[in-house]
Amino acid sequence: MAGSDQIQVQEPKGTNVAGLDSGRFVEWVASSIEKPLKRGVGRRLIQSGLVQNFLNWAKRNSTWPLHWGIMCCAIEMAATSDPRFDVERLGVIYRSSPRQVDVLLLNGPISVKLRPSVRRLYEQMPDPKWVIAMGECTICGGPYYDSYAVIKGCYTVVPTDVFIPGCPVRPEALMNGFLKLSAKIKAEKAGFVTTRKGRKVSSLEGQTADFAGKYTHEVPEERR
Amino acid sequence: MRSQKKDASRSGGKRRPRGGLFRPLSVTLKQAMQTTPVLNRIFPGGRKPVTYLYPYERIESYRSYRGQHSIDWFKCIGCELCAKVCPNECIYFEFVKVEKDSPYVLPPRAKADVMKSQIRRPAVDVGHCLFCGNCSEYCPTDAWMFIQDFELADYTREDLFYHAQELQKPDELSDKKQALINRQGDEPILDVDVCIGCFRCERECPTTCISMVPGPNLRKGKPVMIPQFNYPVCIGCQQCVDVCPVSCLHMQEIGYESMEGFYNINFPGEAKPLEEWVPRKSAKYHGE
Repeated sequence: MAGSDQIQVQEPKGTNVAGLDSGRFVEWVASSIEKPLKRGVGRRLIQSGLVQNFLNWAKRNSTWPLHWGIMCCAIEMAATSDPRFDVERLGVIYRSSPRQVDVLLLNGPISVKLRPSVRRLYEQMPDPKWVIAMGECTICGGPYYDSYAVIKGCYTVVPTDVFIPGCPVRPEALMNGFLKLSAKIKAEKAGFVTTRKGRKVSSLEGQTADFAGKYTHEVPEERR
Repeated sequence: MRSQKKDASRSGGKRRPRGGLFRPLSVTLKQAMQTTPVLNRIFPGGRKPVTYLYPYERIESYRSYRGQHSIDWFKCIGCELCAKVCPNECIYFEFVKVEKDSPYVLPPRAKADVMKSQIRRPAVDVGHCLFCGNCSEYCPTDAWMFIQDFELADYTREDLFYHAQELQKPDELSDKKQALINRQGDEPILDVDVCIGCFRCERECPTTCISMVPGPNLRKGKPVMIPQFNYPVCIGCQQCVDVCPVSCLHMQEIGYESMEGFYNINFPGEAKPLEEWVPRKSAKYHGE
């Protein structure tokens, strides 16, 4: 029973390509790359319309989703990337790591057990990031709307940008969803997008829902 | 044996195809030549490219494809059968106010004063819909249809709730012909001793198959009025069962002596009596 005070936490000693610690590397980037760009002429250049428009064009034409199938909508996700509906025309390339990804494409019911990993994947993605809910199971639980094990919509966990109804979603409908997402990114400067019914909603953030633990089956603190 | 040894010694234990690198590449090159828009006319075996460019060109989907819902308001009688058979319970009925002489108002329902200027029509939560087609299959008047529109993606959850007016089929497209068909097979049965004669089922019935007649029981010296059902007209929508305050009605499957009142529903809009479709030989057999 050694005292817990004697345990020493080892500092990470791994070095990267630049020969710096991972902690110092962030500082180095902030001091030598970000600071000069955010000062004087560089700052004015970045905030100018031309560069911003270029960055926006680059963002909306390379929405790379995570290659991650939950349930049967993943079959349609695979069909979308086949030669018939060649989705790489729209700059949609599936990637296997959340570090290389812009879009979290959720396809299927999210069970209570899967919920923390969905949130973790979302946190692992670098900014800017978006979420697409594909199929009715992801939007609101679908046929499992009565189940104790399925959460009622992915927008209770992560802010969702585009909802694609369908069971399952047609490949063209998924491509239409990606086109709608690029339209949303394009409207970042204006600040709003118009929905299918003509309603104006914010284009800078996704939708989040808070049921206050009513539908998400939070475990009460007494039982933990 | 010798020849095999020789081959093995030459290629280092592996057999290589002729042409080296170009042989497997030739398949790719051939496919590329055959499907490139200009070269496919010159190259033998040329054909159209496999990819179809979705936002610019579209495939015409099958008529049976189930996309966006559309409801014919002339045919719909507001029996709420679609909401009862929906596995996801995503169909809601909305009360819509219309003018008194509107063609959408149902004459039997208009007996009650409340129903003279309002109708009930279905609204759907498309974000929850399974697109299974149960609603259109069980619809007794063929008012439910699915159009081939699949572009339903939207930015918020609230916008996926579609009101009754947004799902209305344009008036020009409907033929305005109603045919009432019972696809449930169940009919309401009355428990006479429990009935209090409140006339609610008669007012609620969308097909006027209920007529009130004096029953066997007496109350204050007068006979209690009980509903009499015209079963060939009944569509089995359970509205009378739902509205009954003392729950004296229940649904049950009844056998029929004749085929009168049954319809063949193979062709939409062409409901024919079933007697015409039954061959004579089988009828004779049943007669004997």
